[in-house]
Amino acid sequence: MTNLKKAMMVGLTMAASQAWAQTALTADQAERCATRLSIALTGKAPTTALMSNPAPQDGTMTLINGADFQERFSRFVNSALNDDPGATSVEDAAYHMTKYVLANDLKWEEAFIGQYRVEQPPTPQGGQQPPVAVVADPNGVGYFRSPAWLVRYAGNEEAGIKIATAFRLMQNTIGLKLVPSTNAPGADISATGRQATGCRACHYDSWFALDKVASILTIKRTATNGNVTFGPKPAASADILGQTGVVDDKDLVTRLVKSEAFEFRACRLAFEFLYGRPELTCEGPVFDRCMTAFKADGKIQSAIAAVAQDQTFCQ
Amino acid sequence: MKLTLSSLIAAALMMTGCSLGNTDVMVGNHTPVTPVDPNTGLPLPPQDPIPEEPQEPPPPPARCDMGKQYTGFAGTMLEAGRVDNDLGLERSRVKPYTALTTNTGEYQRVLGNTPALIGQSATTFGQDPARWFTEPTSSAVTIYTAFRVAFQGCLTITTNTANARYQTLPTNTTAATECGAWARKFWSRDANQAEIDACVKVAMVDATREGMNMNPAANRRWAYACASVLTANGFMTY
Repeated sequence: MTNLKKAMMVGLTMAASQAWAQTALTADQAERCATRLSIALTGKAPTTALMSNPAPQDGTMTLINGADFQERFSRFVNSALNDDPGATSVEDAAYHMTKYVLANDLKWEEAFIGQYRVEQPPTPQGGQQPPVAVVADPNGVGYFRSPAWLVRYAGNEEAGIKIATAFRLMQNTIGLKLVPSTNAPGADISATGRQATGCRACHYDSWFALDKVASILTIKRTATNGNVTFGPKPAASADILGQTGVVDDKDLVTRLVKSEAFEFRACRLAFEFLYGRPELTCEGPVFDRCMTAFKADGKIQSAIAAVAQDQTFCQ
Repeated sequence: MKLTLSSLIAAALMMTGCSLGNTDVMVGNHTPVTPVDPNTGLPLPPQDPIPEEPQEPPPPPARCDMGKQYTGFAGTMLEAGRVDNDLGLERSRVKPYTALTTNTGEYQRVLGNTPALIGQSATTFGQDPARWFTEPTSSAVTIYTAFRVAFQGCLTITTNTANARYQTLPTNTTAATECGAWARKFWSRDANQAEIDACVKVAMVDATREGMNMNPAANRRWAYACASVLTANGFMTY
């Protein structure tokens, strides 16, 4: 019986590994596939050439390498990593950074740990405001040290502890999801209050403990005129992520990005972009192929292509 | 001839096989004794074996390969929480506004014309603000507006006198033929009989009255039937 079970598992694995192999589509299937591919990747109707292609998934990389995909995916990432659009263009740092990574064919991790900065160049005298730019910055950590992003997610903790920033760093890189609990009116929301039962699990005890993460980030300072600056971090290091000695935001994000959780997040983003939802249990093998492709070169385009070119996408 | 009591006892013990001082009781080698009913003296019938505890049923086999497991920080199972569902389900998505509008949009592709109304319906169809993405959804308003857009586009075709067949009132037969052709064109698949019947009903029943007008022109009746196919799920989703 044990040998039979093993044989069945081998058979299932082999069947799954062969599922990506393209089988011939009928004419109407090819048309629907072309429509699905084109709209999912670019948001636009398929071209005549793609509609008449008997194997439209062969054109997947052409679609992914185009400007329409870069625009659509950058918008998608911006909406996945933020709750709302930024008040100004420069606040949509995730959008601009994603577009830069795609246009320059960089690894996906560069959006989070690359030496860059998203900035709004100054408006020339009498001229028009130039577009937001991604510039090289040896002190940069993806878009996470861009001034507008830092101010946007500095939060409003009374002592300047950047709890909101701490959450966003983890949400943006590994997709951390937390459900905030509602405080009673007048509840103590200071650092002391956050150590109370019901609060301390998220703020002090778990591997993602928000206050411990925030302790290695700079402190927000608000001047009387409303200007926001950042002071030195309160702690030399913190034991978080189940690891020891995390020293600052760069160290934190690097550890996040070099984890399997970051790779998993990339493929989940690919599914959400292509299907409008995360992967289902029975789509596990497709997800696994995405992980293999993403681990091979670290590019988000590869992850997306692995899912879009899979036979199951057009079945 | 003196037989002492002790010698008699010893002899008796020897005859019965007892060994004084030996308290071992061997229970494994007794010859099975058929139980006897004390009331009748007859052997008791064999009893049913004592039923065993019912065992837990084996878990049902997995209905699909669910892939690998992935471990996050602090040992968290990253794949936990996936919705348990089969391949091929939860796939349809509403077409975004960007795919419907412009001279290369979906209406242009299937009709050969872009209804002007679609260009005025950005808000209805949920056009996103700059640098943002929202998954489109359907509502009563979007479906009603989509029907108006579709009717406008279909009317452009049926008004064209070069399309002679639309200048003649539909019949059940001609309506079924056109409905099937529209489905293949708009949905990229053949319609089933129920779908054709629904389209024919629009042409033959629903479109025979247009407001107070009890006698709509033939091309308008055709346009309504065309619009019903163009507003269906097969076109509005991908």
